Amino acid sequence: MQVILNSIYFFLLYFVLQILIYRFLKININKLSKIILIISISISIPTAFYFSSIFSLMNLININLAILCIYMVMSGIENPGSSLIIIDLIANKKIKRKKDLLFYFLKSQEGIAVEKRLNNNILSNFVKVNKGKFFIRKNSKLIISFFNSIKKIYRLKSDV
Amino acid sequence: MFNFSSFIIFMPFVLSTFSAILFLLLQIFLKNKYFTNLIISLILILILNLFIIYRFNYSLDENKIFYLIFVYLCNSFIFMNLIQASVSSIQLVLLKIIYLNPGISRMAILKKYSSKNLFEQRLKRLKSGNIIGIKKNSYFIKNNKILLVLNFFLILKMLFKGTK
Repeated sequence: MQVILNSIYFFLLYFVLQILIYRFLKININKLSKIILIISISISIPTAFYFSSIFSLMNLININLAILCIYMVMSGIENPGSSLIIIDLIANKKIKRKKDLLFYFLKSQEGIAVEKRLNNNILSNFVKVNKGKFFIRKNSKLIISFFNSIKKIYRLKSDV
Repeated sequence: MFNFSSFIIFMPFVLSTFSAILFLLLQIFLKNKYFTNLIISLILILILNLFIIYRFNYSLDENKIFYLIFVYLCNSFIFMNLIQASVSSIQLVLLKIIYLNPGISRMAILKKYSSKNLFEQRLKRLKSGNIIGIKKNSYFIKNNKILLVLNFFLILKMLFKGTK
């Protein structure tokens, strides 16, 4: 039961901590999660080797994966998908006509989603702005080619 | 020496690789929507995972069973996000626009990809995915399962932000 209880305790504790930090201290959880993940992985690897116990290794893998999954869920809460906003408008706000849907969609936080993501790209140093002109950074090219290869391998169709 | 413990540690990662390969094969040979293929591949390998647990039941304690299921589910969630990001991430779309048009201005980017475009694209995708339907110019939810996802995020949003 040791691994199960440790993983559940950690998950609950980490999740509640995230809620409290986000709600009352207004700290950017995603940035915090990145730091926690880096610290956690860098502690886990030597610890796992030091103890050479399968239970500690299982615990550490569970904990790191839980942090990674919560990090991904958090970005969904920070920036809810446009599709979910449309579904929310249809299902809960009972808006049915396309014209009204577009009006309320643009009025919602997704109305400025593109501008917000563009600013996120600048803040995350993915693009550089020089005299009002946008240029891609070198590391962003790697991100683009990584996702492009996923798209090509799995024959996926994206928005662009 | 590669013992049984190492086998347990690596097993969920190997199975996740299998589900990625199975998803690729389904994408090549089946004409389903990518999301259907993704879900089929993840569920089939989950069943395989459960079968392995059942077969090795005598030498697995509850910790190892929990580990095998939990790590596989986490890996599947991460893989699903990776696939979804390459299909519909707005941030990635903007990066591609800037990459394809170096020196582009903010106005030109927003002209190429505005919130209105985004709305049109998502509405089209929701319709083609049979999630929403249209009857006499009125949209309605066709697939009620999506409401589970919506409610999950609404509850989380309420917990984190205090508003719906």
